[in-house]
Amino acid sequence: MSIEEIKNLVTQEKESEEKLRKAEEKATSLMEKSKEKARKILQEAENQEYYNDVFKAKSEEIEKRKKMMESEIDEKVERIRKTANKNLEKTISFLVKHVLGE
Amino acid sequence: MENLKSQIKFIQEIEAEEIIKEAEEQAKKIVKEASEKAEKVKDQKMREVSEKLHEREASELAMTKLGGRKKILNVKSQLVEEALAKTIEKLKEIGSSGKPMYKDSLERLVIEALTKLKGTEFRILTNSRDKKFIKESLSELEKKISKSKGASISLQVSEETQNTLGGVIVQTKDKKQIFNNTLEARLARVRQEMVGKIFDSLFEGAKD
Repeated sequence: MSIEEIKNLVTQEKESEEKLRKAEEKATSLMEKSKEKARKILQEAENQEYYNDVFKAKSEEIEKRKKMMESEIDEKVERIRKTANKNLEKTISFLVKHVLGE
Repeated sequence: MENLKSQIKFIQEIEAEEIIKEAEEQAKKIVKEASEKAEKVKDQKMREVSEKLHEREASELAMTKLGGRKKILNVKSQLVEEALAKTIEKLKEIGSSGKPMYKDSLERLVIEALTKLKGTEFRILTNSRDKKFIKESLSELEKKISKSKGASISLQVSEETQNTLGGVIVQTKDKKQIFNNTLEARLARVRQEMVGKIFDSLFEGAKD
């Protein structure tokens, strides 16, 4: 092997080492990125604000249903008042009849 | 020599590729595991939130429903009270009109009270207006009740005046038996015994 060939071999060896070093560097970077991504995924899952928002949205829905029910009850009360008013004379006659023993 | 060089290059390139490939696989695994764990965390948290919401929904809607029922019942009771108050007004009006219809009723009330009591001598207590009406038909009443009881009945109208809308209180002479057949007492009995019918009459046609 000539000196020139040995030099070439050393150069190639250095190039290869550089390639390996870069590959390791890339691997390290990939690992760090994936760890960061995993951390974010978990952080997002743990994020209480999301669940609070879900809770708040559903609570608002419950409130709406409550208001709707209350409004239905008020309408029903109004209908009952109207019916009672319509039947008042008939009921008074019914009571008077029984009180007077007719 | 060239062969050796290309062999070294080949081996090291493979080694570099493997390092990256292994890192990529590891990276994928880390992300996959994190995603799976995150899903579990989300599921657990959502379950907790759903449970709390379900409890809240059930309790608040039940309370609202109960409150509604209470409100409707209160309104109905109030309307029945109003109907009873108006009935009292109507009874006052009928009594003070002095119409034959009221006099007939008064007679029926006396007879009914007498049939509830045992004995032959009775006292009738009433308000000043009805006292006059009863005195007018006292002998007729005695005849009717004597006939229905199958015994000679003696009736006396008490000078004592009752503060009542109308109707009578009948007692045996010894005061051991008494039957209150005043309009107020009758209304109270009608109310107690016929509350369902009063509700049915007043709210007939109202959808529940």
